[in-house]
Amino acid sequence: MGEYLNRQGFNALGLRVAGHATCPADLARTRLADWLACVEDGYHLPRGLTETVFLLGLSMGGNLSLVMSTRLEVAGVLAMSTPYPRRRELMLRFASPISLIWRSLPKVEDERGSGGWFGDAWKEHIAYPDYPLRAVGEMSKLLAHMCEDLPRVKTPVLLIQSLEDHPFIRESMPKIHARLDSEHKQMLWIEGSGHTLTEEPQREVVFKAAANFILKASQAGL
Amino acid sequence: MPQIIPTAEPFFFPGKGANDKIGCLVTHGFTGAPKEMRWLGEYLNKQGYTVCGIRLAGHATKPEDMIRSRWQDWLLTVEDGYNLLRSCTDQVFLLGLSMGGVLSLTMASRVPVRGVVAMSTPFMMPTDIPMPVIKLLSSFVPYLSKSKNPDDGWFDKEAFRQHVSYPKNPVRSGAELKLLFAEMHAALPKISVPVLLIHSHDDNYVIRDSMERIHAALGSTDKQMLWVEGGGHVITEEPTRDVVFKAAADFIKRVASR
Repeated sequence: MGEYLNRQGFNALGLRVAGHATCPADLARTRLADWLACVEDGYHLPRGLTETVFLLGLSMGGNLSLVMSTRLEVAGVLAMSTPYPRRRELMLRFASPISLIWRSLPKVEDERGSGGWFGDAWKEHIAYPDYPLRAVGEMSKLLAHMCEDLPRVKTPVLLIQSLEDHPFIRESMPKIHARLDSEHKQMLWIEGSGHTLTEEPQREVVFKAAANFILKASQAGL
Repeated sequence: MPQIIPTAEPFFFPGKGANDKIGCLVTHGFTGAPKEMRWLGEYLNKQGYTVCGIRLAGHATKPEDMIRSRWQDWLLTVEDGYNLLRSCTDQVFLLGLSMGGVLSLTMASRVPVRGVVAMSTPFMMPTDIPMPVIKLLSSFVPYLSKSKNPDDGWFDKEAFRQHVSYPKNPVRSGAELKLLFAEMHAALPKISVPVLLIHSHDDNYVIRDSMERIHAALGSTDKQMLWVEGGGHVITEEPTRDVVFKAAADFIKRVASR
């Protein structure tokens, strides 16, 4: 996605959220404040070469982007496959104390690639094989924060969601959309993709929609 | 509210001209902030270099965030900065102040860099306290206050006033620093790229013979020591800065491959 946007002439920065892409033990040590600070870092770095910054996030990246859009001056947010919590997910904050005895939750996939992927992208996809329970607790806090912040989001927002995603996440988009205070907010449904919209077969559609959204929002100066 | 202390945010300056494919990663020190490297970054950027000033994990927000971070997190931040620069440059130089120097030297043994400038870099802890003692102590005494008196080691009082760093040292982080020194000691003989070491005669913050000991342990054949005068530990903000910036730029100019 970064490469696509860069080819369209945009400056793109892809950041590594604290605790990710190393080993699960690093993730168990990080807190929500660390994840949010990483997005803040990523926001400040390109300030040396750009005037406006858009936040684009996938899944939890969408939650982080929406929350940070209420704390920083951003021109717009694109949130893809972004969850909105039910009571169940909010209860997961109790995962934090439980993590003292029960450290991690394996991902429920019988074999690699079976977790709702459409294309072959799962072969190259990199993710931890399990969820550190302590981080699940932090994720739950992030979801609660997002619910609180959504009515304060004023910037243009594009939400993109796959029709074939996990039902819980599929139901999330209209709920997020309804609570946004933005004057310019749109929903886009994608068919023929799983959760990881940026790697799945329909990714070009997603990239194009993202580029159009950024162009429109920045030209209109919304 | 954003979490990062205002003016202490990380920065990225795109290069221009013939030097724009040469990247400089500038790394701040223990409890410090990207701000202490900003003037150096701006100076190098004026020479056309692409510059990135990262914020080490747990720094420039709240001291509690630092307690939670481990030396691996700090080194990973340097790795992130290296990868960001690599995406738009051909070669990368690592420049670091104090613990930033320790991190830069350690990272130089792990990723292909063109050269290293380590400033005011300590060789080891000022007092050697066993790890279990530091960890135990940290649960009773989480922080040790720093002196608020600018006469303690600062030459430029104005620079001291604008300097951003935590007002106290997290004791738990001392244990991480100790582990990081062990990593640097293992890394030094493996480093083969050119290294410039810069240290102030008037630095009372780190052990006195740090620069000589780092120099002796370095595997590089192209290694230089530069003593400066008229500044304390933070030589990138002190009156020493002009000499330091020029020495760093001259080093990069000499070493960079064309």
